Amino acid sequence: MRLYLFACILIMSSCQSETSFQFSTYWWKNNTQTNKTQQKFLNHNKINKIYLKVFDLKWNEGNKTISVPKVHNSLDFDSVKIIPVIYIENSVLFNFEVDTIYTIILNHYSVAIRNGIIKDYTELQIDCDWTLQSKKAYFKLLKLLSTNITHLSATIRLHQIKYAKTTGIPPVEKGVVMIYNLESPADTSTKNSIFSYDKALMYLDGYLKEYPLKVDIALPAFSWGVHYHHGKIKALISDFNPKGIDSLNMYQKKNGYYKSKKAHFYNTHRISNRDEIRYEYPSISEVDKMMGFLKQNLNQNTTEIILFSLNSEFLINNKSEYEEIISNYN
Amino acid sequence: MKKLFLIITSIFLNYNSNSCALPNYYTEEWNKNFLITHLVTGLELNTRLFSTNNSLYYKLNYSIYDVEIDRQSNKLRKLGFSEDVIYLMNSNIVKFINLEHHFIKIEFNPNYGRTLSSIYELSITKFFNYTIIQEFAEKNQLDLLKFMMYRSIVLHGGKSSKYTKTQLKKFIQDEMKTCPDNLIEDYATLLIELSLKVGYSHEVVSDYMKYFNKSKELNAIAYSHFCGAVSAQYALLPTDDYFKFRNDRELSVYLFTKLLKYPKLLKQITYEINYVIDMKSDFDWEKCLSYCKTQKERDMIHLIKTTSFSGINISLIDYFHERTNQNSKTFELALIQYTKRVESSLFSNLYRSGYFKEGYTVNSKWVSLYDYADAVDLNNYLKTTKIQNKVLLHILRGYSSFMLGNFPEARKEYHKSRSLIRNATYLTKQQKTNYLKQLDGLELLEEFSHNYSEKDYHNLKERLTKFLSKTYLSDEMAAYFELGMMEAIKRHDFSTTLIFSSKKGFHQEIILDVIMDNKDLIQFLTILNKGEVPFLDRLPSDLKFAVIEQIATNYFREHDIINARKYFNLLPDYIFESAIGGKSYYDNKYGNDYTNFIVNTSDTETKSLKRYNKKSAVNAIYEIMNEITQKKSINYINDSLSQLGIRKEISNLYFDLSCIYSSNFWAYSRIWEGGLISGFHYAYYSPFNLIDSNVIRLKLDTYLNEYGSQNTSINYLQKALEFSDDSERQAKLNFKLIEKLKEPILESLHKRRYKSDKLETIISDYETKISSTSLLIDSLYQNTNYFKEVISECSDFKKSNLLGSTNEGNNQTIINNTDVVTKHKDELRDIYKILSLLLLIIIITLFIYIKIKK
Repeated sequence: MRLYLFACILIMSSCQSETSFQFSTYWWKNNTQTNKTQQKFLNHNKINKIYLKVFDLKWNEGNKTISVPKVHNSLDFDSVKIIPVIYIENSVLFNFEVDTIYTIILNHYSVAIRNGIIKDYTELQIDCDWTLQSKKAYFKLLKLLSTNITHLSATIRLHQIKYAKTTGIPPVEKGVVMIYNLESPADTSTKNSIFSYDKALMYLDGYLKEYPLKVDIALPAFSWGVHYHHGKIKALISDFNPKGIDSLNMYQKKNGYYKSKKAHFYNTHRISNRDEIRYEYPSISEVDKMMGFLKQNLNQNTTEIILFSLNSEFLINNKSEYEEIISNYN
Repeated sequence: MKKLFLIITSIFLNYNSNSCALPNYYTEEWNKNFLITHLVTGLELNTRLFSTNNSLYYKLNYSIYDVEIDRQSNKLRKLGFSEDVIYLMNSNIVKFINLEHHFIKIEFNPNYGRTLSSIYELSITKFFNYTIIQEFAEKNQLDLLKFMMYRSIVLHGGKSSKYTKTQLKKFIQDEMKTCPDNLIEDYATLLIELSLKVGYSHEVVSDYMKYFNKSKELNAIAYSHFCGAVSAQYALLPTDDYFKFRNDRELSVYLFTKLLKYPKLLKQITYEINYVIDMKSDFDWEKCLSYCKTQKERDMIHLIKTTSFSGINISLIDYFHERTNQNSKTFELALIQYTKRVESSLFSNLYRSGYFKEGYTVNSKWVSLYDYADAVDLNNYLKTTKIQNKVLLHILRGYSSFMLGNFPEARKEYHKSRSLIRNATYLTKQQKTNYLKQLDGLELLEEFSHNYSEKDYHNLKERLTKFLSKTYLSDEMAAYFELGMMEAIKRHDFSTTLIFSSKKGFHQEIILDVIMDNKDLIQFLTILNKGEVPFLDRLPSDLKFAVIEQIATNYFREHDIINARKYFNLLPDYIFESAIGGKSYYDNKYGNDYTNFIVNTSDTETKSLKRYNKKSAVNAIYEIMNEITQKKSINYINDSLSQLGIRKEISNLYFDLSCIYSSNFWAYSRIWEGGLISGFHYAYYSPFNLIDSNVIRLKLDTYLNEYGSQNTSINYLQKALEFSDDSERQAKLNFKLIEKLKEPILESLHKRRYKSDKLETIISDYETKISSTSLLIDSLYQNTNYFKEVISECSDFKKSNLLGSTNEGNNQTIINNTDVVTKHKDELRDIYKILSLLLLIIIITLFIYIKIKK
């Protein structure tokens, strides 16, 4: 009988296909000045890991060089593990030898260690929207980095999940599926370029389970305003918040766009007469729905959910909704 | 198979020709700039809006470094240095400098022209060559030369590390201890430049205050860096002398506006100010204005603010208007600038597309509703606003109405403006003249924008010429010149087209070489000789010679040797010597020298080279043709020996003609010199797209088919054969003929420009000729020594010889059949090859499969 019970438990546990989650956040801003609300959010949700973008590798067309905007100070949060992230533009891969990029990364990485921004070479995440043209160089770079970094992860866009055979699997220990920035904000017919559950499902349903690499998930917790001048995108205004609009300057149209009545500044953005701003943010109920989908559709026991990003005002302004999701799935 | 090859080739070539396509903004004025800033305002601020990606406007991208270059160049000029020295001093000499660990290495750029690529000592004797040092020594300016060395390294030098820059600062500080007083500020500029590069904003401020605070001259580099540093955040004690010059973006913006002392810097200053404003999310304009001491200074801040937003913002300009006085010149400039924005965004696009006309409808793909709404905003604002300068206000009202397609309103406003000028006490005499000129231009533009008769055209053309002659402001008037050119080309008035043309897109080369025929050119030469051609400095440097050479070349192309000779003889000999002619009429530095073409006149394997230019070639052809006529007229019926001799001589002469025509230099002219590909490309763009494209196509095809092929040479070679009675020589000439038939087209581009079917016809035509000549050689000249020694060694010939020998009756039908059989054989062979390969793959796959199964 005891043997029978043991067998039953074993069978039941092996049938268990739901994934359990841990939560963490990104910090995607070179200014590392933090505030108490952010610290409280971390404490309240027992988040002890932050993925900090330490520098970007950007192609400077004018000088034909790589420019490296970076954070200058460490993040001042209590008992939080900092994982460095590096963003690499495709043009860098097109214009430089992999060995050179590798050396640049290591140099800046060691500077970041020296400046106390990160601790050591144990963990690193690379963010790059690789294409078929840059794939070869990018994967070579990842392989090179693996020789120095113990735990190397790389971000994966949704189309790279659906068309994994074509786009390839990055040679890393772990991937991070970015479930946001699903459409082009430049398109005026787009309703929400940041996140849509249905749109995301088109890329994930049936594909995520089959993806042959262990993955973590990055979910949106940010907003922006897509600024159009004369019908063409001019800028993305991060942390755009309609509450900050002066009614003398703008009014809300029926389609949800905000239209300028006269020239004014919104933060540093020059908004001209007749300019329009589309306010975009993820629907938190849809984010919650996505969590439910992930629980059933990830072919792994545990995964990490990384919220993008702690430096966003949207996350802090909607912290209770996000906290509810975290408590439901933690 | 050949068809397949040709299809693939044509696709590839088409792709290639498209990939090298050049953008059409090099062929026309992108901004139709009819409101001329210098005519409507006394302020010299450069408010022209232009496309920065157009290299034709590169001179307008003026920076603080250009101010410094201009200043130093003037200084050197005053000291009597040559332009070559000035050019060198402003060149990028240094590629890389390293001053680390007590080690010096300076690497020169390869184009510096020194045998040394690197030096290991920072001294003028190493840095400059002996001649330069001598020149400076003679003028007692070795201290200046030393400064020039540092200037070259700091301002025009290549890469260097932060450590090197810090070391350089130390070297410069040492030099400043001993240098003459007049070089202190120059060295201090370098110090400040280095401080900026290493990010020491506080040193920029302290050095500026130390060396320039009492300076009478505004040093653009030092002052600009100082202004930027004032906005930077860095720690200083309140007791520090320069405490107020940090972390103050509003002060920084105010200080930057003073740099508008150099009006050409407006674009850069606007950029710098915007950068400072963007550093933080808040900017206190009122605080910024509080630094201003005069209304003029406040106006400048308002102007910058209106400039820094996109589009037309009436709220900004109204804000400006409320805070300035009725006769503010800066406010006038802001109105002018906004009108020019409409000109750039709405009007230029409409005009380029050809859609602009009176009362144009807004519902068109050519009309941007946003730009149109902006233009309406401005037009309404101009109608209600009040400024003292009514003359300008009515001009702007009129022009903005015109751009909205309301021509009657425009005419009415222009008329009002004109009537106000006489009694406008607020205008100087010069300003009145300028406004009248501007009105002339805008009224002409309005009249050109209607349908008008041939008689009206001549009248308008005269008025435009007169207007441009008295309003000559270099490239400011480019849109008006283009207007004249476009209207002239529409009416096939090519002389006028050339007169109004510019150097853009090889206009002048194409007009002379492709568009104008000899009737037009001779007509143009007549008015040129009468001294009636205006704007000569915009045209090729020696226009008369360029026209004469073109006429002569056209005759040469048409085989009218007598007229070709007549016109070439009008040109002085020096034109043909050492590449003076041809391309040097123009400013282009493309292509090869075509004045000295090498021609091989040997009928054997040993080359006998002669040099010709067009003139000497025409003269040689003329003499040869005369000699042939003379020899042909000799009566040698009763003397067979003489007959043979004379026939041989005639054959030789025809061979010489064939040789001269074997090079295509005689057909070369402007379009070739402008770069073949660009020339052909631009011929289909503005303004030439106003001519029926088939006409252009026909002209260009004539080049490709007639002038760029071996046709004439082949014809003369056949004539040489006709007069040759010796089988040895016939063998040689036939072999030469085969060689020419194999390479009938002289330029690779010719093949690219043919449609594939046409190319196929031409190639097959030549292939037929090759086969018939091969068979002829085989049947008639197999026993000649030339055949045994030379022809039989030629592998290509062996193949055709082999095929030819199987058909004894060498008539045309058999030759054609042979060709078809050969084609079929080739195709079959290729198919067999592919099938064999496929079979082999299948067998290998099967084999692997069986192996795995087992």
